[in-house]
Amino acid sequence: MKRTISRKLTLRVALLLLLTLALLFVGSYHIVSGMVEDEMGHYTMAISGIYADMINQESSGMHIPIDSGFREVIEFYGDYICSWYRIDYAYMAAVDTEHNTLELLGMSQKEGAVEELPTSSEIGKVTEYVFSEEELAFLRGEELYFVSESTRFASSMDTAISVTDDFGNQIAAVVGVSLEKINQSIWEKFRIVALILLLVFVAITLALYFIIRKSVFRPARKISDAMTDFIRDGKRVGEKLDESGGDEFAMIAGAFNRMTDEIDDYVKNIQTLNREQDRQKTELDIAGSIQKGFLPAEKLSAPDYEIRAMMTPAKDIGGDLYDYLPLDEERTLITIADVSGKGLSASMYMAVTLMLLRQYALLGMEPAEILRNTNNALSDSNPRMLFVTAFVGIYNSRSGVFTYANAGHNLPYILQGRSIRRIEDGKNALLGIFRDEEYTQAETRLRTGDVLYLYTDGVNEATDESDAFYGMERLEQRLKTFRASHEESLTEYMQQDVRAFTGSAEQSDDITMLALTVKHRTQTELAPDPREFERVKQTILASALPRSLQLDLCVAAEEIFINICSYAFGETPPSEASIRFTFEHYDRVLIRFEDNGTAYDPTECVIAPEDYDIDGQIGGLGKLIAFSVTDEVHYACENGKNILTMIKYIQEEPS
Amino acid sequence: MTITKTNENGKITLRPEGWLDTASSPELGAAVDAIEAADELVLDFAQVEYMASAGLRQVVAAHKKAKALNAAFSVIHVGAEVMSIFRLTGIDKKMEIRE
Repeated sequence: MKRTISRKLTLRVALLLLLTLALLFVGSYHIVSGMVEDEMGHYTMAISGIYADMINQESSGMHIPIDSGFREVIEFYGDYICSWYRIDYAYMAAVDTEHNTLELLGMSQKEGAVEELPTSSEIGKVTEYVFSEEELAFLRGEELYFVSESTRFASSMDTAISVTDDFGNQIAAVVGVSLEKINQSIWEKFRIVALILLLVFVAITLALYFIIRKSVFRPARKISDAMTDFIRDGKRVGEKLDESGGDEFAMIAGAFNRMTDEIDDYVKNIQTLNREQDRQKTELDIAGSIQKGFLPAEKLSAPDYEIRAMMTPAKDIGGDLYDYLPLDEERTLITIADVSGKGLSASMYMAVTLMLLRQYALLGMEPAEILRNTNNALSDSNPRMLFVTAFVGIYNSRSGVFTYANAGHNLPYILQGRSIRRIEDGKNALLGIFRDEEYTQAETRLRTGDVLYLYTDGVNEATDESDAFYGMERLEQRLKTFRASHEESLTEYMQQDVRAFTGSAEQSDDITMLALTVKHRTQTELAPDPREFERVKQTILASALPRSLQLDLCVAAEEIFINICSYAFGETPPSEASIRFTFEHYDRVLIRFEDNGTAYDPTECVIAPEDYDIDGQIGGLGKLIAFSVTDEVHYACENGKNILTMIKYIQEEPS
Repeated sequence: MTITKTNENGKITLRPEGWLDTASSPELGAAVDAIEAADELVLDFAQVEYMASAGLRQVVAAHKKAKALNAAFSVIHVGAEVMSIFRLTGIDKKMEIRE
């Protein structure tokens, strides 16, 4: 950067000087040539005077017409001056301005000096001649002498003196010098001048370059070096810049010094703040993972039911909770709760609430009693008046009865068949504020395929960018479409819609959900013998499913089972050969076969129904039928076992 | 599984009752094999609620047998469930199958 400025500057100034130099050249040339011409003019004029005088003295005056004697005199003295002086030719001519004639009287020249001089044959001849203005002025006597560049003879300069002879005839004594000579003279003189000018020019340019370098290049370089160092290390290396000088660079240096001081301070402040923030963030992260540890896993697959749950805090840790806990072989505790507020204090309160609810449940209490005792415990030690809404229930998987009580929480929904209904009873007081509150208890029956949906108000109060609420209507609508979607997880299904609604808006509250699906499941171990199929058939027919559905399931199960018997274990099945048959249904039916035979993926190479040709192939018919009557087929090989799962959706009979 | 056989002047009708699965299908096969001559062979599936691939194969075998005997062949009174299996495998296009 700095170098190009000096160079740029110098180049521009040099250009200017060059221009000036050119003008000086032209000017000085003119002056020199003028001077030389002047000098030459005076010189030749003097010579022509001598020329005329000499001739005058010799003869008794000049007269025309000339005789040969006169001509000799002219030429004698002409030759004389040509050889002694620096002229190229001399001649005399009689001029008549009235009749515009000219008569050459005598001609002398230096050897080979000028071309095109008239030959001797011209002498004595009277020729026509048009006189120029200057020539006329001179001949009339207005000018004392006459100098011109001769047009008669190429490339020469004439000087003439006018003389009148005794008879009143005008005679011009002309002396000429070739221009070559003149130009040579000019050039010699000019050369010296030019050289001097050039030297001066170069000297000035060099001096200029060094001056600029010193006053621009060096200070600029210093400043930019200081800046580069500062940027690289983030702090100033070395001393401050020199602010003396009073010029613009000094100003920049001063500003730079002050700026770097301020940046240094600022950076120190930020570093302190960052350290503080990092520390706090780490603590929150730790708290968040501890909290996650309190809550049970997001998924539980029990023989009689399936639980899916999730809790997403608005900040690093949340004040919501979900919980489930198998209390004994039949009963399972299901809870959802929402502590007022978010963040650290809410989550601490949440942990306490969770533990209390669990402990009272484990003591064998029913939901209403659980809430009553928890409320008392919380309100006894709640100086900050944090309150909790909670819904507590116990599900008995043998009887299908769900007993519950509510403390101010959002009422859950039950999906039954194609419809949804909301749990009605009970919206009692919040937990944690007043002692000895009473809670009412109620019960309802859940059947195979029913889904119980619990949630906190983080769902219905989720906001989008325009601060509109997700709302209960949209929530109910979404629940209604769950069956038809054939999605597996209700919590995932609801979450998708909430996410779609909120878009890029920040999450305003903790979002928590729990879904419990009642299902029927049986599991049987079978030997690889086609006769065992009878047991499979009985299991399927014993389920409370529509007949046509049962028949389809039987066909699918039979084909696969027979296939496994035929191929998985060879001619003689080993003694530990086993096939596990799992039959599960809620809103869909799952048939699972697990065998420890040779690894084989039946989903490979299944012919499409359109391509099946019974005349050609007999094999593969079973698979074709099995996979066609079911909706989904999944194969996995885990721990050396083939696991084939077939799923058929339960289409509700139109009512 | 019981199979009732009737013969009306060369038109032999076999009427299986029950499920046509892997265990019971061979019985149908045996009944078909026992036929020595016929002008027409009819399988009446009015009492067949269920058919697996083993049963399907027996139907195909019966069709072949009928051809060998130069007899006409048809399957009648087929229920919706069993009909869907026939359709699935394209059998309904290869032979006479009626509801």
